[in-house]
Amino acid sequence: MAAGPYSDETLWTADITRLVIRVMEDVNLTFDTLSGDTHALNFLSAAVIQVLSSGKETFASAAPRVLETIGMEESDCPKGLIKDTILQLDEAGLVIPARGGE
Amino acid sequence: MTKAWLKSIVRQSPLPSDPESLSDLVAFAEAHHVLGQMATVWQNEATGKLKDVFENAAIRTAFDHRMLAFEMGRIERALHGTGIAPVLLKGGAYVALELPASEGRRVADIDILVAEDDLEQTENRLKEAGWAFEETTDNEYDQAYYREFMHELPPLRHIRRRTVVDVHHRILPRTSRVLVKNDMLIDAAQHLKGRELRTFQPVDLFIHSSVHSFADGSFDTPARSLVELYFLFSGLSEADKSALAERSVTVGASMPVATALWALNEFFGEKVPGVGADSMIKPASALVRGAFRAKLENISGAYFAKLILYVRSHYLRMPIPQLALHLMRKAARQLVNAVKREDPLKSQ
Amino acid sequence: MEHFRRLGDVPYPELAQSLKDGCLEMSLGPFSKRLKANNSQVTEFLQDAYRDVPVRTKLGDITDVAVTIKSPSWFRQYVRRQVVADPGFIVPAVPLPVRLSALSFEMGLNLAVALKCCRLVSFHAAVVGNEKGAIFISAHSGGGKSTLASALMVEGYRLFSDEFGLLDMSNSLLVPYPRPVSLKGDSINIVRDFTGADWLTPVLSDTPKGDIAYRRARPSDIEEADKKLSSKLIVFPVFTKGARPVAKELAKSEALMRLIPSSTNYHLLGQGGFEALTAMVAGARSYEIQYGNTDDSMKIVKDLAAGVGL
Repeated sequence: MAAGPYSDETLWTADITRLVIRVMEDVNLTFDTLSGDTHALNFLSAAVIQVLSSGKETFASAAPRVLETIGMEESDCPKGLIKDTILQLDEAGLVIPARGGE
Repeated sequence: MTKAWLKSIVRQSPLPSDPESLSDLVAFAEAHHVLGQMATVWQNEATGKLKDVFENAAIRTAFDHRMLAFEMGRIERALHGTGIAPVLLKGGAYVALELPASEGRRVADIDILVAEDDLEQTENRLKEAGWAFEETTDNEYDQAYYREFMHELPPLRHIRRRTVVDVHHRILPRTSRVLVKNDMLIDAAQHLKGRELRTFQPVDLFIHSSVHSFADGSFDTPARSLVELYFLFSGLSEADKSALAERSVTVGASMPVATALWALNEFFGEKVPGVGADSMIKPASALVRGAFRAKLENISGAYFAKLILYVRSHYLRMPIPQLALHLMRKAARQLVNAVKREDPLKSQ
Repeated sequence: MEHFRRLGDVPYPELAQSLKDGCLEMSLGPFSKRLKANNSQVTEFLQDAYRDVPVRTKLGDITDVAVTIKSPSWFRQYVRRQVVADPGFIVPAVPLPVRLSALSFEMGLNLAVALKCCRLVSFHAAVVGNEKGAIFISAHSGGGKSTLASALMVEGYRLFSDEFGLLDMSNSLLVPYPRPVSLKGDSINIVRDFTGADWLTPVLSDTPKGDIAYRRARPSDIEEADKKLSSKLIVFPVFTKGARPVAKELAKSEALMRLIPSSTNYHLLGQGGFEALTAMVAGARSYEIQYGNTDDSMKIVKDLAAGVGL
């Protein structure tokens, strides 16, 4: 189940300003002021949100920026993992396709 | 009594000073789902326990509005790329437009309207994104009944978030005696800035609220309807107020709008242009007025009033032969359920 | 305006009349209630279990909740009499036989408070405290929180509540709400043994939840119901018959994610609820404790309490 239609060309965006984030140990406890949901995010999800908050990206174009943010090589964090993370965040309503962004 | 209470709720008259009356008024407002509106207009004056009670109501409303805003985004997301821009109805529209009528208003479900041609695609997209029919309506008879005679799909509930969307393709059932020109309302709808969502223009918001309260006949939430109409009406510009009568005739909603204007005058003393025996729209009938009063006051004749309204409401929705058939089916189902309840062994 | 009196000081006829008229106002901790009942069992239960709680027999202000104990139907006033609690909004309340009126009252009041209260974050939990801080016992796994709370009361802790962990969003402090402690089944005898029979109401037998009795809050618990405390220790008890006692410390994020589903209203409250909850968890240590009997659980909790300076 996805939150809606998407393709490899979809440009994704996030709005970090509506999130309240408290770091406890290695978990980013993230409160979404719009949905009222509390999410426990790992560092990869947190990095994806950060990257998509500062610019629209496709799955492919997001990957190098996310890897740079978390300081990892593609061998440690494959692109497929980043795509899955974006889709999970889409499902939670934390990232959305940019309007007209096909 | 109720008239005085309604005036206090919208702040046309002061709050009662003795605790017992105030307590009864707050209970009335809560039971009729207008405590939030009352809390909004009185929040600066409230002290002590009343302040606590209002604060409590404000928190609930804030939750409803957040939920609504989030779910609007989810619907937009599910329809991404289809070019369908649904019209937000009722509370959804008031909240999105930040109208006075939204302040303190409780919202339980999201109502959207799409053109009939877009209905199938809307339904499919929402289902793909996790909305589903509830068990109670996911059967052939209910599905056929809704699709053939009603103006909306059966409620769609999101399987994870449990929120409900009502997808309308008409303002009123196809079989209704009141024939509202859906296309005219949809064509005049306006996009929300930067969103794939629309709302009716201000006059049409009032017209639709009147239709919703008075044309589909059940008067289920009379106090809530009145308070909503009051704030919608006070929020209209003078130009909009003057245009109301003509527009309601044009879109085929003069009957419910007349009833709404009668009610505003009756309960809040609002002076409304364009109603009367000689004018464009005729005032509400004595039957409707009596039934509405009875429902609101919940007086001893209310059972009788409810009976009138039940038949009336279905009469408005359906031609007579279908009505008889539907009532028979409904009665038969109630009987079956009653038998099931009486005999626990059989139902296992 | 009438002043508040100790409920036990109100003569029976006056109390009964006030309840019949639906204008008994009870004030306890953060919530006031308007109560209505034409029912001697409810009147007698209030005199016993709520003896030291402040009331007035004429409404002096509006209240947070209003609860009416009434017959579910006209018919049930006369034949196989039943009662149901009506909190003023539609809830799926179960009618009970008249002899269980006290239970109907307690359940109705709990429901009214749980569903209506939005000013405080409300958790299904028992809370006790001393002058240094509070112990929060989550009811997450239904591990004997009432027995544990009763035992800690004997150890000198104040009763906050055995049913509601209430968190003030403005300062992240826990708020006392010392209603009677609800005891079920075996725990009735256990608690009677260490507190004395004077503190317990008569047992209601054969209820839908088995045998039930209530342990009255002490006058000192009620007098200090306006003194809020910060949480120092959060425990998630897991009762397993015959299990050896173990305590396992939880990561703060895990404790927080476990507490959210035990709240009745967290999802309604928005950012204020999140901020208060994170502050509460950050300021406390959290443990899951497993135990097989009350003595073991007491021993673990006392050790943990000492460990956090309580």
